[in-house]
Amino acid sequence: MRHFIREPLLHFVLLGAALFALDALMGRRTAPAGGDEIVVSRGRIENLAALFAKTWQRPPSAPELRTLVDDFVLEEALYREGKALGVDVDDTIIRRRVRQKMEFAVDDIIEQAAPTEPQLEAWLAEHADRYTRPARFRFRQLYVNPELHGDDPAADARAVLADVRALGDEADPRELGDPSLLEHAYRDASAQDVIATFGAPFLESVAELPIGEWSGPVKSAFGLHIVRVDARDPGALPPLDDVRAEVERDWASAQRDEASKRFYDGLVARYRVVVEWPQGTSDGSGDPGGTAGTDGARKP
Amino acid sequence: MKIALATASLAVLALSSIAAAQDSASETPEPGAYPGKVYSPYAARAFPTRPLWGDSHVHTALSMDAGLFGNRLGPEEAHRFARGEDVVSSTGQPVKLTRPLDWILVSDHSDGLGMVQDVMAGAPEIMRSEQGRRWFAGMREGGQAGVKAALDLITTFSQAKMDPEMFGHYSPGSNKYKSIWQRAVDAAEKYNEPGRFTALLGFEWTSLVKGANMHRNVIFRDGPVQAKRIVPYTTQAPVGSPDPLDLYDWMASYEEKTGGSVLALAHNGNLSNGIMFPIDAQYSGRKLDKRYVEQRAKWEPLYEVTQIKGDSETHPKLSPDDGFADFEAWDVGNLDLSVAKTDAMLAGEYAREALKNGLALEERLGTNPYKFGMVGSTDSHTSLATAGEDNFFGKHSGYEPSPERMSHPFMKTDQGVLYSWQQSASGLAAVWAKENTRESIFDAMARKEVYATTGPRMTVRLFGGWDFVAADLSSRQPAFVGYAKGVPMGGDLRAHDGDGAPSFMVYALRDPEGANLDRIQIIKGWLDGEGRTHERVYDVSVSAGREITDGNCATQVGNTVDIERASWTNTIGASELATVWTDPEFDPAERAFYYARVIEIPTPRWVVYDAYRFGVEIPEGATTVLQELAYTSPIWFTPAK
Repeated sequence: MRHFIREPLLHFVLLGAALFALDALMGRRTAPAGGDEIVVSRGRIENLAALFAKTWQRPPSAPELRTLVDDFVLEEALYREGKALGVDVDDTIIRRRVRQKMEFAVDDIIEQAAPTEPQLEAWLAEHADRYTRPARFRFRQLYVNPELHGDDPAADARAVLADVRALGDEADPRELGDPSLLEHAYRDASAQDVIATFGAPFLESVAELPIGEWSGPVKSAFGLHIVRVDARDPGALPPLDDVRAEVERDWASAQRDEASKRFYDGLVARYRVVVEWPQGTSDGSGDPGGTAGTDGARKP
Repeated sequence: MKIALATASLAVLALSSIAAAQDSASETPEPGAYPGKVYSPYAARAFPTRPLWGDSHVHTALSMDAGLFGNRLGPEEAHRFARGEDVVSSTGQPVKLTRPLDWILVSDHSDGLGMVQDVMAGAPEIMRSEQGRRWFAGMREGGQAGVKAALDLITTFSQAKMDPEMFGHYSPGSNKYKSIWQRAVDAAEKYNEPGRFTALLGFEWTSLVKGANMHRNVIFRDGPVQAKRIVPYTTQAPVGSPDPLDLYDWMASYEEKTGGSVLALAHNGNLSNGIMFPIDAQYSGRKLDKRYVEQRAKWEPLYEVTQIKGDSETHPKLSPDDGFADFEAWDVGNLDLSVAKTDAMLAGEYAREALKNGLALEERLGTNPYKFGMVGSTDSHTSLATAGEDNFFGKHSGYEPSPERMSHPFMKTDQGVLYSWQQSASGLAAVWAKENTRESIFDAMARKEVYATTGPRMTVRLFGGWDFVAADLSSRQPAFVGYAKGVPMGGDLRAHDGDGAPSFMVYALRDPEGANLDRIQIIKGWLDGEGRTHERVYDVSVSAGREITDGNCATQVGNTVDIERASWTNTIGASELATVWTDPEFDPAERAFYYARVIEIPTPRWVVYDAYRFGVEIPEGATTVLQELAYTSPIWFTPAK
């Protein structure tokens, strides 16, 4: 089934069926639909009784039910006569209602599609950047505050770098940097955390630094930093099972967008569209007639 | 010696082992000040290291008014936008946040949820009613007629004159309503990724009393399982009610029925014409009593202090000695401008005054009903959480960026006028949550460990205790000391034996993408022995080169804003400010609260970016420069009995 769903041809078959059902429902002929016979089926009566019960929280009594049926018969007769007279033509409300029903029907058709495993794998590969887990870092930093370092803070920062390298791994290097409320050590910071704290350019630099040695200076929103990245998880693309829900969500949403666009494009393509633009209202770009048809048919 | 282990090979290890690795050399505790109970400082570090940024107030096309004003983006787009994705706005403009948010609450109005789509489609439930047909016609005509229909709908709703039969379909009790709510919950759930992005569940309870704003957002701690067992509470009879006491009862029944947790937060006291924070009697005339103060304190731990419809921290007439009190004020009238504002109303409208009156009510009734923490949010009706001056998409879709948007009156009645340039590009909510999950964020909100900003993302810490000293700040782990020696924002000062005044450790880092800081202030409110309330604003930390004398820094920080080019520079101010401050006028017999206000250097307001980008004039009288703010939740002091 799901393979057919993507076939435009099937859409037209289904659309035809939907239109036919709608014909039957709405009565689209110029003579009163159903001739001169009005049948109130058992199902219809049950439906009327249920609607009554929903409003009044009790089933209708026998006289009430008779009234409901009589009213339905009158409504049906008026409806058929009205259709025959063409009072529905060019009525915005009816047009919108019909359109809405069609859109619901189309939504249902499209909703039925379910992805195959290879489709999801392919989607994941195509959109790898969207699912790649954010990088994570363990790093330490020494801050060089430009406000305290005159003309050439970068030179002072390089001096800090030389000092911290000379200090060796055993000593506590924190006194080499300027005081700051930024933490000295970040044990497990995600890319999101690093951006939120230091800004995006800092993250880009930290992602490139060598592991296990002091380096820099690195610029941040606050000034310069001598940084030592002790561990970095670049954030690999997880296997499908780990992100299945997200992939299915995004795949389905893309399929729906694509399928409905195809459907509505195809629908409008069945017509020869003539738009009688008043002089000077169209800028001539693109295809105003086609665009109005397709975009206008889309749900908000 | 552990550093030596951290060679390149570590980089390929799973992160769990990174986190587990001890890194003792890099964080030696301060000699003589080590407050931990176990050797490893990290074992005790069960506190958050950065605030999680979010917006607890965004409306989508499902909200009646948002839909009417042209919002075509639903909950899905709202979540995608908050996560940092590119979105096309309802007016066809591509838009994106500079940085993703960490969480969002899509809070659509519960009354009439999903109704506007049906108005526009001319659904039978709508067209059977005279009101519905009129609005449908307006929407069909579009343009100004559409705007008029929208305003008419809001007025009709706010004056409680909706056609009851039509409205029933969009109210609790109908299957239609239930399915609209469940679809909204599903949309949020799709984008909720614990650890990375949180989609809180909730709604807005839109109580209006003759146009006076009593709105509350309701937030669940829980997921879809619990949320789908209920439908949102509304304000219209027969099911709903505009009385907050009835909302509290509903919240209690939610917790009982589902085993979940829920809280509420009000907003826009500034448009309540005095009834948001009652002092003697509720809007209904009912005297404040034990039930009211206890229920309000229990269910409303937070207040939304700043948003697009103005700032509600304080008002110049309430705080005449506060040089920063006049910030983005909306003080013309009630929500629909059907009744003009009078000075007598202000005391029941603003957060600081409520915090003060809360102390007096606690003295009188035993519970402080206004013991709330503070957040900011946008209340955007565009589905777009845009709080940045340089990326502001307006209150609703009628005010998305356009060359004309500054020049309309936003609202105009015989009672007064609000201009569209008065929309405030504000605000955000910062939550000190340990994890990015619904539970952790909710718990931080419930303990009030949150703060508000008017848009920028400055990091702000506030701790209160009895023995903070300046050295705590240079300990390089000030937050660790803060939690060990005191309580964070939103807390109560611990009981204290002996003399001495409370001390506060407060520090702020500027937004890494934003402007430098001008100053940090501590705002104290207290209740004296005669039952009168007082307030005082102390400058406690200012950027270099300026003096603080007797709690006041008289020197302005300066102004680098270039209106012509819509720019500014960080050549003034400081990238971080910090201090330990001790209350110089402490009286252990008086109830008090303390909160911090952090002030940025001047930056351009959104109208300046509009003028620059569209090449249009800024309307006369429009404010062009502002100093963005952060407001922390208070820390309270209650005298020992």
